[in-house]
Amino acid sequence: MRKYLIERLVLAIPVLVIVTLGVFLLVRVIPGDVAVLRLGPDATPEELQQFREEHGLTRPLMVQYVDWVGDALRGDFGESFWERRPVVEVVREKFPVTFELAVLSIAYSAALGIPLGVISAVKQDGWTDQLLRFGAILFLAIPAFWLGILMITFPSIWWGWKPPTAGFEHVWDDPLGNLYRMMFPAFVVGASTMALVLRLTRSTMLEVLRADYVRTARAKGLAERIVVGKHGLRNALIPVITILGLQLSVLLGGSVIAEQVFALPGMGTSMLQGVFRRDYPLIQAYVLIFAAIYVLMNLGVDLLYSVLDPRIRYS
Amino acid sequence: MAAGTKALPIPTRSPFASPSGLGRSLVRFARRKPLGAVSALFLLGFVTMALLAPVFATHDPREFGLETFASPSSAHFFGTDQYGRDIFSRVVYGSRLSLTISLTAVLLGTTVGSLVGIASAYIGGRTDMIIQRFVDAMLSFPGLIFAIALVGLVGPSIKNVAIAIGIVTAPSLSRVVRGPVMSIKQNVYIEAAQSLGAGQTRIMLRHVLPNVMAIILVLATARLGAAILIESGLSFLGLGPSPDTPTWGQMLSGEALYVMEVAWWLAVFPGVAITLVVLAFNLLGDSLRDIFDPHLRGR
Repeated sequence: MRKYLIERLVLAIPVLVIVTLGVFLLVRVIPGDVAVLRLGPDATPEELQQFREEHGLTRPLMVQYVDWVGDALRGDFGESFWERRPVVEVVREKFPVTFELAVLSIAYSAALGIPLGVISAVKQDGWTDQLLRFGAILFLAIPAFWLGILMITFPSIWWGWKPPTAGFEHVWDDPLGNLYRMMFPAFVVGASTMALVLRLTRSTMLEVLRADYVRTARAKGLAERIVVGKHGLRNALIPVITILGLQLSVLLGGSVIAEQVFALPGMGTSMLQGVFRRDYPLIQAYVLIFAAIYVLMNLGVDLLYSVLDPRIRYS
Repeated sequence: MAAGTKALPIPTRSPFASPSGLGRSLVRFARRKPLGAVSALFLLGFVTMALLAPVFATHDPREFGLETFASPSSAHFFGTDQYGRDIFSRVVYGSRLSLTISLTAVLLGTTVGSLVGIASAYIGGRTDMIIQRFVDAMLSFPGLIFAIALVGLVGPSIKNVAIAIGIVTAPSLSRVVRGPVMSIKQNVYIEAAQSLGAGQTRIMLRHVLPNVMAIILVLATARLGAAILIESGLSFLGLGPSPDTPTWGQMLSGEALYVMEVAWWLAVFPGVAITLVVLAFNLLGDSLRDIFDPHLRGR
């Protein structure tokens, strides 16, 4: 187990190095001079040169990279061009919103997707199964932003009511109001994950239900509920948990769209603003954070997997 | 040719070369996978519509009209928007852009991804190890976030959006292609080619690639749906190609958002178009996968 753990950790390091290098270069290779962008077209050559020297832009790229990574590790992502304050402050403000959105959507996609997947598998080829499978395929094809638009437009036309799209209270200030505000975007973000979980649960359940030990459990005369729930589901859940872990980062990415549709002040909205304002330090920080979350989640899922499935631990 | 040597019988026609053979394969596909066949037909119609957009469109998609917010009728199948522009014609023209971008992106991503995957697995050893760490790193960026950052930094244009989506597509494809190549390279015919003195590039392109072509085609079909979703997402966020070209994502963004409660057709038709096309690509991809790769069936 310990060897496996160390191996996984060691493998994650080069990946993180490449990720940081990629994010660092992303902003360096694009056309346009950061100094000109920051100071505007009217800046004199002297001012530009002074800016470059002040911000260490005249040093070799490698030195700049090492410095940048060192600062990032200490939580210093530089200053936002537009907001004129440390990037880390901006991120700290926006992160809870997006994180809550991702957690809520993963929770409901598991809470709905797993049971529906089990029902679909148990009723294989029946009309319930057909309906659920069709629903899943449909949800995988609907663009998240359109789902959000429909959720706002039609209730408003039919009942003169629509999901809240203005104002925001953090969960620690107004838990109920926050939940009411967040549940609609969470539904939008998690819809495709729910469909994915449903499909995966169904297919692994079908596989597990054909296994010998399930036949044995039935032969012993156990109630179907116990056969499906205890012998079947528990084993079918292992791959589903993996997917849920990996989906968390996908959901963090998907939040950009939902935040936009429902006007939420999260990382997605902030990153998009950064993109339109060419606020490089901000964009860099967000891309790095999203990628780092993925690498860490991936690592976490691998470890969890080895706990859930002893075969991996000992092989 | 020496006298007395019997020439091998040359098949008069290969099963794929003749139209009737191809026709039979298609009929068999339609019987086994009716949903896949319907999707393929739908997509064929969609491609035709995109190619012949000027024929299908009833109006100029950019022309402002006096009839603003007209509800769907025989004059305007999908109604008109706040500027009196014909939604149906805009959806028809939008298909051109969506198709061009997603096809280019997937072609680019699939080509690069497959070549990298094949090379990584075939060369193996330290090269494989290093390439795979790069693939891991690329996979760490959520697709949409990466595309937003890239397009945002280099500026939105048809070319940049296609390249960004291509870059997002490549790594996962190369990872999936790598697996089968690992087992293909153990085959005797690869060893035979090596002992005949064939170079690495030749073996990879002539002996390995044809054997993973089916998998690549299946993956590419399924990725087309994902590419359209990312493209429409980017357009919705305001990072699509130039504003005067209608794309489906764009039709659902910006000013339109504020008037949808007055004119539901603005909200419905472009979204239906995206959903149907993505659905068709996914269903076709699923059907092809079931036929070419029984191991993955039902996943």
